[in-house]
Order: sequence, then C-alpha cells, then structure tokens
Amino acid sequence: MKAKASGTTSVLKRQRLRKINIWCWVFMIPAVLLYVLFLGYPILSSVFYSTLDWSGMTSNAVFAGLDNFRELFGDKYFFNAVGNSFKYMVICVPFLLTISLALAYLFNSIIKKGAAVFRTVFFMPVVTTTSIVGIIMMFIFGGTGSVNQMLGLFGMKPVNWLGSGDYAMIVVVIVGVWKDVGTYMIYWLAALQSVSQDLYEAAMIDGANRWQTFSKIVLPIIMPIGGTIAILCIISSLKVFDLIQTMTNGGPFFATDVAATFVYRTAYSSATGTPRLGYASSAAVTFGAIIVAMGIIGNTIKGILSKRRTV
Amino acid sequence: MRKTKKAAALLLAFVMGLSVAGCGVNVSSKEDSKTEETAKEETANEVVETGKDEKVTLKIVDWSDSTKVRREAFHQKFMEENPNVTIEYTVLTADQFTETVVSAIKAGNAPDLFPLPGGVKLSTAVEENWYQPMNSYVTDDFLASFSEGSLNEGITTLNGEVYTLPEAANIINTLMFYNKGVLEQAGISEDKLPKTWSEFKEVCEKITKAGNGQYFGIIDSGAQVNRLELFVRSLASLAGGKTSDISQIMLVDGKNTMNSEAMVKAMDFYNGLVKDGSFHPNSSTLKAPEARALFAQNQAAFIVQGAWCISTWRNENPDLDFGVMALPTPDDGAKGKLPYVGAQAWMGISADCEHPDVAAKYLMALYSEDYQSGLVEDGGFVSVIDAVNAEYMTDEVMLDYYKLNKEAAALAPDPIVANPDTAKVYAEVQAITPSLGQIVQGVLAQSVDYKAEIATLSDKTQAEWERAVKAVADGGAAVSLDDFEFDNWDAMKNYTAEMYEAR
Amino acid sequence: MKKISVGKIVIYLVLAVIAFIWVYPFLWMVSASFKTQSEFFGSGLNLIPQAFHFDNFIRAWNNANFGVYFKNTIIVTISVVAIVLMSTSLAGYVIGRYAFIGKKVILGIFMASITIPLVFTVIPVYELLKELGLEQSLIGLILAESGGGHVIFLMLFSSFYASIPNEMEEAATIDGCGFFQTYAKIMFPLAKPIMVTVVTMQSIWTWNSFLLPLIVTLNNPEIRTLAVGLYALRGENVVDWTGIAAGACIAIVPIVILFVSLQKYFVDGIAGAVKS
Repeated sequence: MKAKASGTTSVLKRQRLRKINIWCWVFMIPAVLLYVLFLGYPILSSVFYSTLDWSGMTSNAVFAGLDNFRELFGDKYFFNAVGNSFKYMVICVPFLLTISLALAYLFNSIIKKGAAVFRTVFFMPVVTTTSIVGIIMMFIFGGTGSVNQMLGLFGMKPVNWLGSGDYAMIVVVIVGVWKDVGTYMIYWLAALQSVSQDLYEAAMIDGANRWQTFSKIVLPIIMPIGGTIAILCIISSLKVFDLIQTMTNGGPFFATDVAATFVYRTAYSSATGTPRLGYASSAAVTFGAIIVAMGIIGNTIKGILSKRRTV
Repeated sequence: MRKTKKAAALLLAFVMGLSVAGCGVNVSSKEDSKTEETAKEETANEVVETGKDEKVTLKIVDWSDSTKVRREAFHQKFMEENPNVTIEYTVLTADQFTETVVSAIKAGNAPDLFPLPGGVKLSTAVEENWYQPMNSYVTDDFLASFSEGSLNEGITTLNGEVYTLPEAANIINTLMFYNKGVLEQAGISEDKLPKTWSEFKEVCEKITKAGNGQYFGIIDSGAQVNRLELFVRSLASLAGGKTSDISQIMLVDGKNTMNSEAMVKAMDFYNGLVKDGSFHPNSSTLKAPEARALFAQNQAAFIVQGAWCISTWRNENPDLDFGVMALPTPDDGAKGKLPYVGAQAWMGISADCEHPDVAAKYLMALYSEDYQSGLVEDGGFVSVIDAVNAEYMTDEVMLDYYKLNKEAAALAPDPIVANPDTAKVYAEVQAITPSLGQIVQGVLAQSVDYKAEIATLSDKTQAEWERAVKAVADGGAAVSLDDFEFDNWDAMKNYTAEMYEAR
Repeated sequence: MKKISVGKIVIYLVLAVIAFIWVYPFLWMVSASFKTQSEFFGSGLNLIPQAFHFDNFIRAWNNANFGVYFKNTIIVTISVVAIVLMSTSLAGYVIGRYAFIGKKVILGIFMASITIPLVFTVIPVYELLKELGLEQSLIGLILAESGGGHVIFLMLFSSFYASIPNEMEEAATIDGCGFFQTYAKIMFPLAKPIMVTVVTMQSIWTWNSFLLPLIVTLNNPEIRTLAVGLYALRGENVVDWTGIAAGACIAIVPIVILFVSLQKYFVDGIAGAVKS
C-alpha cells in the first residue's frame, strides 16, 4: 500500500495523508474522550489539589503553593513508602512475568488436552475475593499457620511471617504473584495469538526443539507487545493497593507501606487531626513523576546503548 | 455521525462544567483565610409541614452495623405505622462513609439523615451547612428525655440549637475480657484474676507457656492502630498520665502527655508483654473483628475491647464462656481512672432534607423506649435514655461491664465543652506520623525504638498544637493553649459541670 | 514417541499438583460459604465443612439484594464492556497501523497518566458527573466506569492489528472498501483473541467495582450493583465472613461462565483467521 502511494504524484499523496490523519483522529475520539473526562480531569484536579492546604471534607481550602511538596521532600515516611513500592515491584515483576508467560505458552502451544481447565484454574485467584484471601493467608502464614507447622516438622523455629517487619514484604509479594499471575497469563495468551500456527509447524519441520521454537521464533514476534505487558506489570506493581490494604494495612510499622497506602491513609483516615487531601495529592503526583522520570532515563540509556552497539 | 455529535456535546458540557465546578472547592489565599470569617447567614427557616398522604422517602446512611438487624425491623414497623413514608437505609463502614458521603453532601446530594463523620466537629459541619437545627420539629419532652450530659453545647448543640443527637451513652471501650475456658486450661482460677501489671505479665506468661502454641496470653488488633492507641492511652491514664480519650490532646503544665512518665511506663509494660511472647503472634496484622473471632476460638485468654463484643459473641459463639474485668493497674496503684468523654454527636437532619418534620418523627421513634430497649437487651449497648438501661440491661457480662464502667472510668474534661471555639483548633490540627497507635504497632513487631519515637511524637504534637492554636487565634477566635489544660482535673474523679465553671 | 508421552504425563502430574495448590484458596472460599461463623475461624485450612449450611447463601442473597442488583450489574457491565471494546479497538487500530500527527504525544500522555496512584478520583469524577447532571443515574455510572486510559487494551489491539499482513488490507482496498469499511469489515472481526481479553478483564473490573457505584447510587438504591450490595455484609464492627464468602461465590458464577465460554476464542490466532 505504501509502495503504491509512492508512485503517485506528491499532491495526491499529501491529500491521502491528510485524509488518513483525519480518519485516525476520528478513530481516536472515543478513547481520548474517555481518557480526558475520567482520567485526565482527575489527574489535573489532583495536581490542583496538591497546591492546597485542604482536608477534602470542607468546601473551602487555602492555597499553599509548593508547601506540600516542600514538606513531602522532608517526609521520611513518604520515601519509605516509595522505597517499599519499588522493593515490591523489583521482587514481584520477574516472577509475575516469567510464570505467567510460561503458563500461557504451556497452555497455548504445548498442552492441548485440558488446557482450558488449567487456564481456568490458574485464573481463579483473580476472581477470589480479596478480603477472604486476607483471612486464608492468615491461616497459612500466621504465627500458628500451616507454613510454621511445616517448619516445625523439620525442627525449625516458627517465624512470624506477617507480623515481622523483615518477612511481611516477602509474604505480600508471594500472595501478590499468586493473585495476579492469572491476569498476565491472559495478556500473554492474547499476545501469543499474533504468532501464526504455520510458524510452529515450520519450526517443527526445520527440526527446532521446543525451547528453540520459543526463544528463536515466538519470543521475537511477541517482544513488542511483551514490552508493553512488562511496562504495565511494572507500573501496576508500583501502584499495588488492595492487597496490601487488606493483608497488612501497610504495617507492621510501615514495613509494607507502599505509595498507594500512604496516599490513601493521608487522604482519608487519621486518629488525631484532620485528613490531608492536598498533601496526599502532592504525594500521588510526585510518585507518578518519579516513575515517569525513571522511564525517561531508562529509555535514554537504552537509546544510547543501542546506538553504541550499532556504531 | 450521531455519536460524534453527542461526544462533542459532552465535551462542551465538560469544559463549561470545569469552569463552574473549579474542582469542587473554593480556594482562598493564606492571608484571606486568617481575616475572613465565614459568616453564615442565619435565615429563620420556615417550618415545614408534610401532609399526611404526601409520599415521603427518607434516605438514611450510617455505620451502625451492630444494631442493623434491630434497625431494619424498626424501619419495617415505622413504615407500617406511617404508610406514606418509605425508608432507604444504607450501612457503610466509617471509612467508606468519609470517602463517599462527604462528596455527596458537598454536591448537595446528602441523605436526609446522616451522622457526623469522625474527625469533623459540629461547628465545621454547621459552617459547611450540612445540618439544620431540629428544635422546631421535635418536642421539648423528647429533648428532656435524654439523660443528663448527653446533649452538650459544641458537641451536639450549637448556640442552643440541637443539630445532632448522640447514638448511645459513651462508655469506655477498653475493658479486659477474659476467656474462662482458656484460663481453666492454663490452671488460672477465676477468683485469682491479675490485678496489677506485674501480676498480669506473670499470668500471661504462664498461660502462653501452658498453651504451647495453641493459645496465648493476650490478643490485640494491630492492623487497627486506633485500638492500639486506645489501649496504651488507657494504660497511661491508669499510671496518672492524664492522656484522656483518643483524638484528644490534653496539656499538663503546658506540655502534652505523649511522652509523660506515665506514657513511658505504659509503653514499657506493653513492650514487656510483647517481649515475653505473651501476645498472640498474629496480633500485629489483625483487625478488631478478626482478633475478636480468634479470642472466641480459645486462642487467647485476654482481649481489650468494648462492650459491642458481647452481643457479637453471644450470636456467633454461643459456647464461648467469657467475663470482663478492669484493666490491670500499675503495681504502685492507680493514679487515674480510665478517661472517657461525654456522649458524642451522631445523627442529624440534613440541611437539604425536604421533610424535616418526618425526619424528626423518625428520630423521636428511634429514641423511644420501644426501640432502645431492644438494643440494650442485646447487650453491648448503653442507651442515652437512662431509664431504659436500668430496666432492660439483663445480660450478665453487660451488667458487669456497666458496673465496671462506673467504677473504673471517670469522665474527662472536654475542651470543646469548656470553650466551643476550640473546635476550630481540632479542625486546624494536622495528623502527625507516626501516631501513638502506629508506634505501638512497631512495638508489637519489635521494629521500633519506642522511647525515641514517643519523644519525637511529643515534640511534633506540641509544635503542631501551638501552631494550630495560634493560627485559629489569629483568625479571631478566642482560644489559647490554656483551653487544653484543666488544673482542677482529678483523674480519679468525674469532671463535672461545676468543675467547668470553677476553672 | 513413547518417550514423549511419558514426559507429558509428568508435566500433567506436576501441573495438577501446582494447580491444586493454586486453586486451594478459592476452594476454601467455596467451602467457607457453607460453614458457620465459628467454624470459619475454628477449622483452619480444612476444606470440608462439618455440615452444609445454606443459610449463608440466603442471607447473602437477601442482604445484597441480589434479585434487583443482578440486573443492574449486568446492564452496567455489558454497556461498559461494549464502550471500552469499541473505543480501544478503534484507537488501537490506528495506533497499530498508521503514523499520524500527534500519535507519539498522545501515547506518551496515556502512559504517563497511569503512573499516578490515584486512590481518590472519586471526588473529581463525582463533581464532573454532577456538572453533567448524571450523578445519580445508571448512564453516569456507565460513563464513569468506562473512563480511563485502558493502556493495556490499546496496546494489545495495536500490536495485534500491526501484525496483520498488509495483503489483507490491499485486498480490501481493491474490493472498494474505504478506511472505515476496511476496519469494520476486515480488521475488527480478526481481533477476536484481543476482544476476548478485553471482555474478560473489563467484565471482572466492572463487575467488582465498588467505590464509584456506591457514591453514584448513594441516594438511589434501585440502581445499585452487586458489589455495593455485597459490601453491606462487611460492617464497621461486625463482619459476616461466611456471608461474604457465599455472596462472592454467587457473584463469581457469571464471570466464570463467561471465562469458560470465551476459552475457545483463545486457541485460534491470526493463522486461522487469515486462512478463512
């Protein structure tokens, strides 16, 4: 199609391009509208709120300029929360991505019989109610839970998994991986659908084994969308909320406090004193900015490295 | 392309809306807010009278889940007696309420009847025009039926106008429940219950040892920092700390009590229990309902909770044999009682309510002996109507609890009762992290130097309250730090109306 | 050949064990919905209830007002899924196949937006719905639930459309299809695997969404959704765990049916589609 277009005169080409541009934007309208109204506007509001000294409860607020940000940069609990978010992400993401990809590939390309059943089974944690998950994890990881009973059988000392600052994060990560693998498995399954069945057959004829087929043929094809899935996995792990809120509430003593729980707690609940929606907004906006900045830095480094390689 | 047109219309509406809405908040600069007092016009509302056959829907939202079953039966009856009225009742948790209802109220979509959210003082709510006074709709007899000290200026009432009513009489919610089954198994007889801190520590150790991983001395709900704070504040009060109730800050000799000698002692005691391994190991991640359920599963001998547990246990764990006792006191004797403040504001009639007369009728029925007696009978509930309590409180443990409340607790002074303007200070003060409860959570997980943390908390609290008092005073309100200090407060005695006068 | 089948048996055995552990918490939830409150905490990880108590289901059904709320939830979910599917597929198509002015900018904005942990969008969204006059209606709820960046769906669609060979489009052009027709008649039907993903995930999110439906339906209980109704079981002081488990079990059924019935569309990717 593009080859055809280059053969015609430049005026016609420009006209065609303009037409395509218009069509493209017409196609973008619904998505952009839904974005602007229900994500763009709330984000702009948050940026606006972050300049206010406001509890969120009253209809009057005081403009505070950059005071919230100034205070935020001296708040060690904010940086603790940011640190924990990254800790969670760094441990969680490799497991999430590899396990979910392995499962998706297994049930898409290797196993045919019973694949539907297995897919359903590995998807069930996604639809298991979080508050019930919290309770059952207490039975498993609690001080008197099954894991400790098992350790006891081997003569090891019981560990207070959720109750100690050192281990709570590990438990939360394990449960997080368990609960989310199903979601990413679905995404990978979708990505694998752009690999044509013919390619598997061709690979088999060429005598490639399973691993070679996967690494040499399938992986390169799903790489572009794989990158998006990975970025999404990173971002949603950084924003983890529900699970931590239910399981540890950020405790014990901020050991599992992540950015989202920090923001939520600051915005809504407090024992003494009024909640601080303005301050919470500034924390949310700053956290977003940190991730974006890291993304840009990462991209730049990647760009420089790939340039060097080609030189 | 109808869709595109529609979308364009939506976008246009949105842009117009944006300019009007201003993100849902009026902003003033710092300088403005100090001088400008929001002067609310006191328009004498015309008294509404709803016709007998006019269809009325009353929308009610609150978080009183403990009484939900009784409440729904009551609504059924109320609707039968008033066929023109339909009641739509929604129960949320307090957090969800704050998250959602507050936005609705500000947008003019308030329910007809709703409680004052935690952390908001009545004066703020009235300034924001959330409620309307109910005096013209309820009878004087009705208001007189409330027991003495239930309706307080600044708390439920403002300038003599009643805006909200208290849900229940305020009693302390930090008494010690014990599990008789566990005590028996551990070989502790019920007439040798621990009375002092050392005795308690010893007994807990003994129980934990006897339990050998099956049961423990005490269980707490560490995921709910408010419960932790209440417990430690109570302990500190017994040691003479004059800490008062949660969310209150009291000054003694101009200093807050967060790092007082008594508070350090209380924390030492708590820390000792943790170090002994006497706490159920799940304690630091449990919420109160979960801790309560594990206690009922005979996994701990003691739990510090409020009276509402009684009816829950009776319902869900009919086999549980339990009793209630006072909190153990320091070894050198109690230097204060458990502090509690008077009845707090609860339900009020929304300023947007179109049928306040019907809403008032509902409220009057809600406080009738007919309904209140059922709540009291269930246990765990103390009515603001005194006569009902005397007649209908029958549950044995509840009677014990009520008796202990009278012996072990003393009414603490409330700065708002003394000077309603102090409400503005509460609205100005910002939360400090880590709070006392969060520090206690750190003690439970043994991951914090609590002595250093409470010292920091005390310094920050002092600075924040001094700042808030100054800001409010600069704004023209007659408040000073002295409003939070009560020289004639004897922590062993009730702080009475005369004492407020004599200050 | 024999060797392979032994290997397969081993794979199946290992998978079966892992799968059992994986699904255990879910099974436990199902079993908990038959237990008594006391048994819920008392019996630990035990899967078999002492006796089957169906009153949890009755209580959940009545408390959550299932009869009425079920219908609302289905209306909301279907509408939201349809809107999201349409908008992300349209946008994904042009992002995947065309270079147009402003594409990079808009993608950048979309990506950057999802990094902010917004746990309080309720306030601005509610204000917005109020300005549109939709704050107490199903339409408002549907719109708000459909809103957002949907970056993952956009990207899935765009990379799928990008991988469709050009010949197909050329063939369509020769047949006289315009821009829109090419998309609607040729491209959109090809994207079944992605549609399945969008339908599955978006259904789950909308089905379980709680906060937004709660505030939008606060003064209008007739239009509430299941998740709001189920929340009534979780109180401030009293938590009805077995009721929650039972309610979750009932509420999950449609989602599981949906998931299972959509399975077959996962198997055939482009290959099958292109051939036909």
